[in-house]
Amino acid sequence: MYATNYHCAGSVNEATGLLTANDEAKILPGGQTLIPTMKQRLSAPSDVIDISRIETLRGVGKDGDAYVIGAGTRHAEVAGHAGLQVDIPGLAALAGKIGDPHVHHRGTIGGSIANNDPAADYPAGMLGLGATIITSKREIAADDFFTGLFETALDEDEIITTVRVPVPQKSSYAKFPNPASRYVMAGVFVAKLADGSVRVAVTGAGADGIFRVPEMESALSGNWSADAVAGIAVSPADLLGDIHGSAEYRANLVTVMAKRAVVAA
Amino acid sequence: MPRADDLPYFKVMTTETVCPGNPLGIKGCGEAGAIGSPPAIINALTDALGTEELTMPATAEKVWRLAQTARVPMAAE
Repeated sequence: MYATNYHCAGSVNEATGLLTANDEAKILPGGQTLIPTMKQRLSAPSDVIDISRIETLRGVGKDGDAYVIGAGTRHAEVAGHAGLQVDIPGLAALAGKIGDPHVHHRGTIGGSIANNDPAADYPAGMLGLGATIITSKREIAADDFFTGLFETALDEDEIITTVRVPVPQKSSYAKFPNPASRYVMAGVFVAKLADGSVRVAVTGAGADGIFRVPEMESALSGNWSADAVAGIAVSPADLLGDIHGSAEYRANLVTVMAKRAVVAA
Repeated sequence: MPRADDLPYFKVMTTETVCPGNPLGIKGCGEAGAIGSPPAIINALTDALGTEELTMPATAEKVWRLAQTARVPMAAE
């Protein structure tokens, strides 16, 4: 790890001020990605701005027909939330499947979304549920937020404060983890929203990050069953191929995970 | 691939049987054998897939590819 300056922000305003004042600063939400990459010298921020002590960023609340989840909310808090388990079971289950117990209790939803790792789980949940990402500046629809591998619509001085997730009729997430790292090799989030529209979001497999599968969405709109998606394959040409699995294998996994998610919803 | 968090709780106990063949009562010990399991697993796979074209390690992707070409009807996926 290279030397860095540590700041403990007491408020979102203080954190954005520190971001603006320091060109090479990074936000530290839970540190489950940032700290390991700093230790490997893959990341070398001049300043680290810890937002994990900002209490207003934490917690899960219901607001009408949606849940509002603070960006600093830990995976364990989402996985264990009684309301979410009933109303958005796919999201609670997704949080419970991230990493290991240590990650559950340190990692945050905002950190996962802001990092947009192609093998992260939360981005698929946000895209699959049609969530809205609320930042220190504005509101961004999940469809517009995730722009590529490790890329988001966030400005340099912008911090995610909350996410708003509408309660769907059904939701479910199925993932195939790498047997060694447990990072997702293909994860599929399916949801039937309150208005009856269907969303299918895929993570871990796309060469350009998460994506939706319109063919599966329209098939499920008329027939919510595993059979409806069984014959729909995504093109390997658009998928990741690496030491853990070829693009063809991931394409097969996407269809299999979609079937499992639909059955479990 | 099992990891630490897959392990159940277990209690370790020792049994002591003194060896009568030497004054100290000690026995030699090499590595415990694990040689039986790989052929058992690979034989089961080659039998199920109807082909000998499987090299170790039998990763999920290798088995999937062979299953595609062998056109073996699969019970679950």
